[in-house]
Amino acid sequence: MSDRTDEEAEVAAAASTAEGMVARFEESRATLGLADGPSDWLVLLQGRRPW
Amino acid sequence: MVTAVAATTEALRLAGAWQPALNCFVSLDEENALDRARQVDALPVASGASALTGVPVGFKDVFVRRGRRPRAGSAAAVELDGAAADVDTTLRAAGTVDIGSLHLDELAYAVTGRSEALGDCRNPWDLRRATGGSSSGPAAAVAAGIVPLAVGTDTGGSVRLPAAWCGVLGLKPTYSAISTRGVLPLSPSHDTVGLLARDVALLRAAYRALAAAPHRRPTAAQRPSARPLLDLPVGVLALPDGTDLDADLLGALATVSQVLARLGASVGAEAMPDLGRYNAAAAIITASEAAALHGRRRHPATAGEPWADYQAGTRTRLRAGTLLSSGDYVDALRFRGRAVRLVVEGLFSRRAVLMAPVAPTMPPLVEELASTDSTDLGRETARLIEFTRPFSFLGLPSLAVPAGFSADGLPMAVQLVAGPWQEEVLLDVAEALQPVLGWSQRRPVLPPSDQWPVAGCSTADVRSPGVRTT
Repeated sequence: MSDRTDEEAEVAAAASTAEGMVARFEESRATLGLADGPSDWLVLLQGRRPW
Repeated sequence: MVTAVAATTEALRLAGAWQPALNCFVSLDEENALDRARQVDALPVASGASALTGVPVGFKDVFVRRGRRPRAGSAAAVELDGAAADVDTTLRAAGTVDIGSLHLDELAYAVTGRSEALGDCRNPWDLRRATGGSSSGPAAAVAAGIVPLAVGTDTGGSVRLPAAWCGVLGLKPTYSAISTRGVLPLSPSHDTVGLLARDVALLRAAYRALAAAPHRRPTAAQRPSARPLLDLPVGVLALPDGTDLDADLLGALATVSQVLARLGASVGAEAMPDLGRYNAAAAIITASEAAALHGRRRHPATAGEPWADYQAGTRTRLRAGTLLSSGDYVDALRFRGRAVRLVVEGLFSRRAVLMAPVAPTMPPLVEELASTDSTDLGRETARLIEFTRPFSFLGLPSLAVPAGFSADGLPMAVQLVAGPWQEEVLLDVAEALQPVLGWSQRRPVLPPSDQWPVAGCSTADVRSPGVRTT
């Protein structure tokens, strides 16, 4: 297999990997509302500090 | 009392004996380690000896340490400089002796312990088998008894998985509990420093020295010694439909459940129906962040070609990350808020500890992994961390605990998970299990050299600091 073909195969594998990731997340994405903040999780974690 | 020099000399002797079979060290720094040990022994007793004083330690090669820059198991030029990692400074202040840098998967972005740049790391319990990764060297070095304590990193299971396959304890603390300054990042929203040890007391001492938080004294001390876990509510993960868990590991979960009940714990099943969703969101966050940090790197020797200096599997993962959108990334982060609320306010309001598998399989043969094509390997990697990555996503403390041996003599393990900042509870449970399960008494034996499957890396190759190039 030539380098060029190797490169194309790698790019195709990466695209397929990325598509799979997005597809597996779609159902969860659909549950989100605008009020869900990207840093909510950290606030929840820190809020449980024992001191 | 063992002096630091005696402990370090023994660690270096064992490293020399095991290294050609295991390939667990990237560099061994004998001269500096012995100098440092002499300094530790010379400290006045009044300066306060601790459980960590004079303890030989190894670091996964992702930490900036005194006079050492990490190469992260890569032929690529890894650009990490600046002051020594907080972990290095703190452990040094506590009296440990750094003897060298340990093996890892490239950029800590895989979980098998196989490496094109370093050669494969081998499992001390069976040299034909993989250690797991990415903290492959730390797990192998602790399992072989070379060092009693090693420092790794865990982004999706990289301490817990190799700890499980090598039969040692592996702690991933609460997200942000231990400083990651001076540590090569992979996915900063998940990255944690983790610790590997054979003995719970030493692991606890190291965690306490390193953790940013003051410590809540565990309640175990007030419990009767015969039933040290009296009334502790422990949930056992109800395995999702379709889970393909090795029969030996299923047996180990049942055995540990019984032992926990005997020790007084109140044990019952707990379902986590969204485990797959947490894995899906974590995959997007990790891939996006890793690609942002490492995907655009250009090696001077391959001008214009950003990928050539990484090994094939790393390239595919980084390329995939560049194809995700900012919307995917932010939505995955947003989903995490919902997930943490559900788990912390739900499951961990009922249970102090959740028990789950670590990896779904026993350590595979290195040759099997080598013959697996990259698509299948990607799928297998996701499967191997299906029970560890969700707890990285949630930021919760998790501990891999050895759980006996299979009929083949391979180590088995279970994972204990607790609510945020409850590391001490996990350590209490492990402390109660240690004398019953007895993992710290059994040690792997180095077979004669004609039984080593491949030529590893000799001690001479790694004697001076710096990565071995192949």
